[in-house]
Amino acid sequence: MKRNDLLRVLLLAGLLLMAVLVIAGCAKKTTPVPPPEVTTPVAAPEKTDDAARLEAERLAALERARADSLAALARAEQMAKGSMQVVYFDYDKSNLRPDAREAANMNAAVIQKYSNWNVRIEGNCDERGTEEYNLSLGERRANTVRDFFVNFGVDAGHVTTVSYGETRPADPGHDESAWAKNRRAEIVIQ
Amino acid sequence: MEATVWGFTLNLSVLNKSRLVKNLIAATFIKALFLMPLPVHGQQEVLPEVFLSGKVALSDRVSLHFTGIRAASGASPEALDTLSKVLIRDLTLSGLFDLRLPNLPPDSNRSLSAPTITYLEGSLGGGSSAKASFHLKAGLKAAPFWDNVYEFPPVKARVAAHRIAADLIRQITGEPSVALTRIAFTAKANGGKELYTTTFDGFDLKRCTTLGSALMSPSWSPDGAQIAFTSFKRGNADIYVMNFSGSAPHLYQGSPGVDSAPDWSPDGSKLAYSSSEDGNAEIYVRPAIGGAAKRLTYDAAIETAPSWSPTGREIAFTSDRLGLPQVFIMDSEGGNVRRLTPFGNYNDSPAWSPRGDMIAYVRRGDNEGFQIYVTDTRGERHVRLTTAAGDNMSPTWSPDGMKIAFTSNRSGVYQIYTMDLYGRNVERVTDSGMECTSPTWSPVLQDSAEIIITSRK
Repeated sequence: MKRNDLLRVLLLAGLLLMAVLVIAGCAKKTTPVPPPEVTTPVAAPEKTDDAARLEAERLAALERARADSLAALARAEQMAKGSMQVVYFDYDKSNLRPDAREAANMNAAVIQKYSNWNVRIEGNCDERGTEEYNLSLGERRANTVRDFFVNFGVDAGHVTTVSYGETRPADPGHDESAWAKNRRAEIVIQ
Repeated sequence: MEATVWGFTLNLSVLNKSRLVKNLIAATFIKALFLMPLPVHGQQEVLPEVFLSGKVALSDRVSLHFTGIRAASGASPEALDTLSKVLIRDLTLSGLFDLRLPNLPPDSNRSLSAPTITYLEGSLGGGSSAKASFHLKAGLKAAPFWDNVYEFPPVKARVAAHRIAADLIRQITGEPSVALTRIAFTAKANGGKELYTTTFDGFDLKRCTTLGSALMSPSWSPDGAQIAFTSFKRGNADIYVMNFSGSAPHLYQGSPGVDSAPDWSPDGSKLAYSSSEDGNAEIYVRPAIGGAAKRLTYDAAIETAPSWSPTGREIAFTSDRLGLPQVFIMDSEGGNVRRLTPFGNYNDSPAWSPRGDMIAYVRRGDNEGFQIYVTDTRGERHVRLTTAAGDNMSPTWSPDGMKIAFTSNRSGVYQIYTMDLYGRNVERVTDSGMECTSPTWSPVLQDSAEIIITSRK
């Protein structure tokens, strides 16, 4: 009888652990789910010392699994944040060229999964041009990306824009390869 | 007073008139359009003659014979040297004089062709307080028609010399002088940009801000007391106003978007600027002391870089409503928009001359960087003023409308330069390892508190 109970409890704990891991594994790939709640186990074993000890072990294992899955989620979110791609623009332009559209699309797909994110889009220009016009051109570039995100389905209330004009070059050089790197919108997750 | 320039009338009554101009240059007949043979680039256009007050053409340079400064025993040699050097430089840089320097005998040939030589004589006394007297005479033996005494601490000889030059120039030509002006500009320091000022001839460099963030587009108020500028102090572009005397800048316009490119109205009561507070960069006008803003432009394009006309009735600005940035003019209420720059793919940074008849701007050429041009208010003639390789940007007019300060990277690092309105007499103002950009020229500043002036005539 006791042996059977013990087996049953172990089996249950194992199943629960697997379930948690499966859920956690799925959560990495799909929309974020609220952190899995630890529910009190259904089984109510006899109040013996052994049972109490096993119960404690089982809860500890569950807690570890929960912590592990949360850590995995956090790692995944961190990776998602780091996966934001820079959107590059042509000279004097603020429209999305094909590669920029792909980059914006990848960003939007990730951002959409994290409804808690606050997204800041930073518009930048190369050094050629007047400071005043570049300030507005950088803003227009940031707005282009914001509009793309919103059209994709990202909540506009979580997206802000800022223009740095030509004040923050990614590459301090003075040639076309530097300028091409500087005409950009960067996505920063806050 | 009106003068006909480029086929339309220009009101010169804003400028100071001087009866002396007429007296001194009575022999000078009023010239019609006198076109100077200038080497031009691109379009075969030249600047028309510029008229000073009294319908005197700028090319009619006043013959001025500076006979030197007599020093009394005990006069400070340093003060004498500074006084002489700065005075001669100010008179030269004004571009108004056919200057004959001390220790040269009178030119008999010249006196035949120019019977209206004016003589400038000076003297410097000794003592702990330097006492310099200067007088102007219509002939070597004539009685002075202007005679001033300047008393100042010898260490203030430079300031005193600027003051003397300004008084002389006003006396002879009726024109305000750049001798008492400064130029503010931005320079890279501590990872950000800060605001600096220097005298127009590059002395007395002063740092005005310690904001530690990007700073651009400074604009000096017409009374000289305040400077407006764009700063990223709060993380995005906002407009601040600070007292030139050094008070902490206060936020003037701070929407979540881009607020930039402030420009004071000629009466100092309002600022025009560009803001995206309604979602897109538009031109607004708002009282300098704050209050409700009036939106002037309604276009999905970028509108920025406003510049008031000296009458306050019109505003030049940049818009890319036709696809690429071009300079436009509108009435200061926002109506009657017309395009000023029909050439080029990138025209920006309009600066309306204080005389009202010209607008300077920058144009980016295909292989020649940015160059500074001037045009009339109808955009009919466009004359290129700068030729140096690299970028020549951010033109700003001197208060007498005779010079333009700008920034150029012709030396490798952006520095501030001045030139006359024909693009000649280029002078480098800053000599700094720092990148110096975005100049704004002050009005005439009355910064001579330590100088006691008495007029004997």
